[in-house]
Amino acid sequence: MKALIVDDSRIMRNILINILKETKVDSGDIFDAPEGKAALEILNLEKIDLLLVDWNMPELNGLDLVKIVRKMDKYQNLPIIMVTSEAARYNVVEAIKAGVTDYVTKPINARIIMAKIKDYL
Amino acid sequence: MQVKYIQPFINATIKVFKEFLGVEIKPGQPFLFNHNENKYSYDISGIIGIGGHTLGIVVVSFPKLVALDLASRITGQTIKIFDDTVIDLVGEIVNIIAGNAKQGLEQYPLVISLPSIVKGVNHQITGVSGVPMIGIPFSSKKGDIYLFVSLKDLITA
Repeated sequence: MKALIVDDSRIMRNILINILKETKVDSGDIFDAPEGKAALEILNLEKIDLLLVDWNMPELNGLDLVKIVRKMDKYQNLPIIMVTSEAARYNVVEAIKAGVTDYVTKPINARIIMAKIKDYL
Repeated sequence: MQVKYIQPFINATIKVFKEFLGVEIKPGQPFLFNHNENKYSYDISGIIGIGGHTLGIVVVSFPKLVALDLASRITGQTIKIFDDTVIDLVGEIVNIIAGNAKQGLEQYPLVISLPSIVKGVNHQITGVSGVPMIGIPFSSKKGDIYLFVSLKDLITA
């Protein structure tokens, strides 16, 4: 079971890594990237089972990353949780249209996001 | 700039400090910010541009001790200088505030930029040309934090 966290904030990546460590994902199977292009390299090399992705990032943002990932054959059914500060309803709609499976707004509640992660693993 | 645009940013700031940082803060009296008459003290700011159905900026400014305390609190390590962690944290705080404030302004679709960080003792902060900048002080146990918002009047979608 492999998970990938994509967020330009190292603090947020560390928070999410620590949450994932509390689930059945082994530490060695947790990958992270600071933006979409670096994430795509990992997605191409590995077979990721869960993607946690921020929206606003430099280079390739999370929304565009999700659109690309959904066109990749091996990730048609990949659970993608968008974890973002973008809290407006029109943002949620846009993200779902792009292909996200679930949407969590920052500031995150560790218990809620852990429950969601467990649902998808 | 109408005052009703400010409240979502105040609400978001209180929420972010409580839920993300575990810190209770209390808003003080809003003021019209004029850098030339600035009597407030801060050393690092996170700045986010706002576009879409308006034009503006949102700034969150911290005295050094407050920023270092927050970074130490969230990492569990003692941080004594403005390093990458502090910069990362200040950027993430202003990003979450701006993103959450959009929830209270949903009739005006807004786009937020990536955060920029400025350091320096009482560095100059300038809002959108011709638009006043409103400052809101927030008190915390470690010191005051300042939120500055300069936003052109919004256009309904």
